[in-house]
Amino acid sequence: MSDRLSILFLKRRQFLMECGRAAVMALPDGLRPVFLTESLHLDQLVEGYGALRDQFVTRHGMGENLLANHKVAALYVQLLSKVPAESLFRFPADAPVDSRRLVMATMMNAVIVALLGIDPSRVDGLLQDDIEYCLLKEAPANLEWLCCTLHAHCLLNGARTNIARY
Amino acid sequence: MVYAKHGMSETRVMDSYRKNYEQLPDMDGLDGVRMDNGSEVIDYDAAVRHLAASSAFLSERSKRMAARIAQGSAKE
Repeated sequence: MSDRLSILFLKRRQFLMECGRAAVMALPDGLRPVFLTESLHLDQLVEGYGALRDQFVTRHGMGENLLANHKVAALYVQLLSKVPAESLFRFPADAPVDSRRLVMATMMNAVIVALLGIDPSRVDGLLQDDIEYCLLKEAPANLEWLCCTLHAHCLLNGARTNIARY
Repeated sequence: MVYAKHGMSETRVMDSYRKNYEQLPDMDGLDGVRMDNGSEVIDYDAAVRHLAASSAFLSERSKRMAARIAQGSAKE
């Protein structure tokens, strides 16, 4: 890996780590798993992100190899939806099955909130509910759907989009 | 090639396309629409700072999701 690539790798890994930790802290006391900061699955996730991002950029012909923040969030969420919770978290033996889904959905929520700069004070509750429904239930694997939804979420409830001259 | 079967070469198809090409009447109105979608570099440090500031929101949403799961509304 070149220096630039390895710095990017570490930045992305660090970001996902913070999202995982934030998800643990957000869970109710009795349900908190441990986030596995040394997990190899985390490395794989970051590598998978790099590969998926390259594919996405090539297919959509992005200028200057830069992606809008809602698309970056969509790629992370899509990848996270395929990772079993046990790969990133250690659960107590008696943890209810539902808490595994809950922590993954909360981690995806953390990715979205962080990258889109969602402002809690003006969040549209219905849109947020809909997104969470899909994070919990549907394994949000459809990238077009994710991009479209997260763009709307960003425009309605988030910080200024990072698309230049929008 | 499908075209060859009907005795029509690809070049001829392109020619007739060019001949019949007309600019859409409302093209003038589309000046503001860009397709290049250029973005700025993602600032991961700012994202992490925002995440830290949003912890109350995340736990509120997590509680709400837990309640939803408990109700079975996410399992219909």
